[in-house]
Amino acid sequence: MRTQFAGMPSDDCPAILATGQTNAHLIFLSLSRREPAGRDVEYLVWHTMDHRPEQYHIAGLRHCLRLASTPECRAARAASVAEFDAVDHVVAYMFTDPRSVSPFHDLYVALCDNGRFEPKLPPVGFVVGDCARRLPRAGSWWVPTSSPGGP
Amino acid sequence: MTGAYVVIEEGRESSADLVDVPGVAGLWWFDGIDIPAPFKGSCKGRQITVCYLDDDLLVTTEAIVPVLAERWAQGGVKGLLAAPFHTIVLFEWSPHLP
Repeated sequence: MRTQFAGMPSDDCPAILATGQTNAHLIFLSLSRREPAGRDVEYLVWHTMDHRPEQYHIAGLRHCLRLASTPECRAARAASVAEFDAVDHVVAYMFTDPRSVSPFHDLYVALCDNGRFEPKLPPVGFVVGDCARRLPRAGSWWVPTSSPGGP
Repeated sequence: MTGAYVVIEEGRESSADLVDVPGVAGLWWFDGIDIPAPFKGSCKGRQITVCYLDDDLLVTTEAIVPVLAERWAQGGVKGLLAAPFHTIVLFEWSPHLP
């Protein structure tokens, strides 16, 4: 089920755009394997409900999107070289600039040192980039109003 | 948003064609850079594209794949990872696990 919102998309409305543009330019993709003992849900609850709100103490962290692969997703991959084939979980962090990554790392270390980062997902690696362009779809603006996989 | 289609490629080329695929609400693409300290490594020479999806994930994926195949056949970029992922929904943790 989808809901179409009234009016034009923000990207097509100069008055809305004039109120400001995002300063999130740097993407930091954190790529991980599944939790070895099957504690993925435990990890997701901790990361979503405890860790992510705390990460926003970092001034340059503007957004965080968590994604997960399923067996169906994996089977549908169009490319998956050995370096990335083990990826099951993705977190797309958006930062303002590279300087914000250091306190992000410091928080990780402080949490680990104080027994707050459990369980952990085995890392696959990081991929980092600077925004070259943002493109919205032209035309109507609507959103799904049921959960993914729902009716 | 139902999920995202994440593309990591070797090389550099516009990802604009992907926004015309039905089910893609919009996309951002990024030029790879050195991984900021204290992390190590570099992503220079690579490109990241994140397509934000607002229709069925696997149906949209079927429509994205031929666009990528044509793009890679032209030789400007090489696909390293091109994969759909579900968005994690609050309090609905289990439906989309590896």
